[in-house]
Amino acid sequence: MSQTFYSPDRQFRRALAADWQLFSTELLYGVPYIVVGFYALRWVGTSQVYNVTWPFVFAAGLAAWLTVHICSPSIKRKSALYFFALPQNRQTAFNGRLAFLFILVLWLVVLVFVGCGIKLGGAGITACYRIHPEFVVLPFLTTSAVFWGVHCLHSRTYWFRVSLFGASLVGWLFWKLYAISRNPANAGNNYWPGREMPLGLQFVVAGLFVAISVRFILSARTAWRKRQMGAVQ
Amino acid sequence: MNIIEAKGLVRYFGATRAVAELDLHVPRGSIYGLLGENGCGKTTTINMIMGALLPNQGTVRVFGEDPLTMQPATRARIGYLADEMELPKWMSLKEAIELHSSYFSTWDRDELWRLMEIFELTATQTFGALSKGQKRRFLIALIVAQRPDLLILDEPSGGLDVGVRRQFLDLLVDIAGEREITILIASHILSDVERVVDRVAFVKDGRTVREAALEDLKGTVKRLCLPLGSNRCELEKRFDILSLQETSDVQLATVSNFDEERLDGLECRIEHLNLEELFLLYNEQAAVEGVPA
Repeated sequence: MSQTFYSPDRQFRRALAADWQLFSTELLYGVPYIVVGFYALRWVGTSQVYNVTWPFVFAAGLAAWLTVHICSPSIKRKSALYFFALPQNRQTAFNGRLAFLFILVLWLVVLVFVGCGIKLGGAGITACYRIHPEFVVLPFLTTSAVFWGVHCLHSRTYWFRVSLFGASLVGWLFWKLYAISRNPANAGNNYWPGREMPLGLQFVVAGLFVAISVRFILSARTAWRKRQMGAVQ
Repeated sequence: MNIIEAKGLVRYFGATRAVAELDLHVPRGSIYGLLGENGCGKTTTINMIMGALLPNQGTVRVFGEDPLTMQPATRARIGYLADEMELPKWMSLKEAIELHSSYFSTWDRDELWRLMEIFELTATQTFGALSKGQKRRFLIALIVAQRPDLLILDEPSGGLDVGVRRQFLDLLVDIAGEREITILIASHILSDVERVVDRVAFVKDGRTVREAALEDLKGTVKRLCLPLGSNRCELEKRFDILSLQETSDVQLATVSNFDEERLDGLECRIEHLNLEELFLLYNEQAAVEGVPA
């Protein structure tokens, strides 16, 4: 009886169901933020061209915040003690949480896609051309990075890598903001590194992001096996 | 057979040593008191027993398994109540019951509702709206209803008023009487624990200073009230003296190997020690001897 009850498959489904019960409301929080992503930054430039970058950046930011909120025992320490004691294999619990987080990110990305669809059909607004593959991957990458950051022991190398990664991302966003505000957004400047870049190459960039994500997840997976209270700051 | 076996546990937090060479042997079917002052390392020890913390040195086995890699089916046999343990505030008790019960194949629905009724809790209340005592009662009901073979309770009566504390301790005695269950209670409220435990470990500065059956301790550690001027050498020949004090009219000798036959005509009055007195005695002795660095 207990062998079947605690089979990996049933443990995984239980972990997923538990996260759904605990955080499903938070998934809905994404809606207003993403909508803000569509409209709030339209003051930048005067173009009618709809900027698809910001909703993805908002989705990535929100996914990062939710990941910290869901995963960090230092934030929910008293609850974490309860969840530590539940009968579940650590690795299965890890897989369940990862699956839940990626469903969450997928939900946010779908919101952006739906938003794009609506905007594309809007009268008087220039079409949004196409979705950037690298931006679709951005929320997944951010979630993986935060997931890794929360579950790995922090070292100087970690902080160095995080600082480098963060500085590059922030620097790039500022550059983009500057570029758009200086010259009203249009088909020529709304893409990074440029619309001339072949779609295939854009997918290569996206693939690179995916590879980094996988690396983050594998590191977090190793750390999770020996996860303990007090080790996560 | 020991359900929990800990040998030479050491745990540091930075440079601070929270647990130092701690040993525990919790036999099957016992109600075991892990007793010590606040900050002596009880909670850290329990976190290591639960696999939430890794020891820097030493080993722990629960049901013969390493807590870190314990099988879920084995972990399901443990009911654990932490000192400060909470569920999300917005969660209704009904939702919490659904969540918790889904993890246990041995879930006893009838037992839960019986306890909910005893503790005057209703399923529609939210966890955040409960008082500290009600939260403890609800969590206790949850872990008892999972029908564990081992209950680990860290300061279980903290936040409970006297009536509920008594009710809870009576419940523990009932459970222990009904089925073969092992209970580990970490507490600093010794008067509560004395009513239920049959085996104790005194912990000071992260070290076990004495581990024994309570009955044996009470049977062998006695205070002898002797007339002033009694022969100390004669007393030392017969007993191991833990402490010796003099008041204005008597000499008080606390001995650790009391046996009536050893008195052999020695004129004295025998006083029994309660758990609190035993605890203080061993604590003072450990303080005098010092904890090895």
